[in-house]
Amino acid sequence: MPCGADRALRGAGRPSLEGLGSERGGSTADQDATLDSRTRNELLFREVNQRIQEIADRFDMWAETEFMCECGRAGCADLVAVPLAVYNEVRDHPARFILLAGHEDEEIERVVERRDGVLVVEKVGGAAEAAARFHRQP
Amino acid sequence: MTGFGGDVLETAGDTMSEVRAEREARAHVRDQARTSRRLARALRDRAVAAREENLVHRWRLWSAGLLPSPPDIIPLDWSHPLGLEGAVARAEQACRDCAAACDAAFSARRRGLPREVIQAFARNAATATVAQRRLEFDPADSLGALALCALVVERAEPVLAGPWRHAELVLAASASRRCGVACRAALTALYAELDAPH
Repeated sequence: MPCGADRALRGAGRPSLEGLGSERGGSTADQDATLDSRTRNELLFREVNQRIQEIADRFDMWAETEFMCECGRAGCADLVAVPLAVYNEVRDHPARFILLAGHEDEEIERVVERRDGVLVVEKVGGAAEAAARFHRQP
Repeated sequence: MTGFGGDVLETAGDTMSEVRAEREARAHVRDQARTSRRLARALRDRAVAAREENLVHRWRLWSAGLLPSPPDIIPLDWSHPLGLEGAVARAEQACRDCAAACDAAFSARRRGLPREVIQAFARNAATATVAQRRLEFDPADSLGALALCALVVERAEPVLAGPWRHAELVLAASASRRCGVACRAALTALYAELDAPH
């Protein structure tokens, strides 16, 4: 993997390039200075998964769909295969994320469901607030 | 009974086993073709790199006065550098193209495609869309999305290699590759800007 990609996924810190920002307004998780790199990664993976969910819904494609693991670990780009209906349920809840077993962090989340090597976790404390703040209804 | 019925059964069994053997042979030939194509691609890349290196050396010889005339072409890597804004704009466009091409491929050809192929194109489309949105919104905050897009495309390479018989799939694979390259270039440009002393 190129060094730039590796570095970015390892959470090199929030860049602040003066003069680069667009004037189109709005807010993303990446722009929030209060979020750590792990939370930003988790929110990025959730955003990508929501797009996969939209594609799967739109084309009525798969009973079982591969989503990105939403753990936010540095460099994790593993896949989680679950039925689309299961993912839809998880996504209905703003503080819930889906990830591979062993990728959970008990300091910021608790496991609410466990099935075939896949975990559904619920964020607690500040992580839950951040997740709720950037939750986009499907 | 060893009469007519037995013969029929024997013939059917033979046919089935022949069909099976033929299918295996076909799969083997297809795998060989795929390997050869990958090898050819790698060799072509090496040939291009060698030609470029040769060209650079010839320019050096000419600048040192050891060649009477300059080469009539210039190396590819001497093209005008895009700069940060150019790299970001190109990545944004490449991400948009990738998402659109994958979408078109789904619409036209999803039936009959293997599941892993559809999933790989869906991941490419999803990461490209997210990266494009972030680039459009604020390039400075799109590092994670660009990195993820480049990584996802890189991991999809065995799928992108095909072989594809349909134009939509060829276009989607090609747009995905271009998207990965453009995201890496934008990432490099963004980091160069971050590391530059202000």
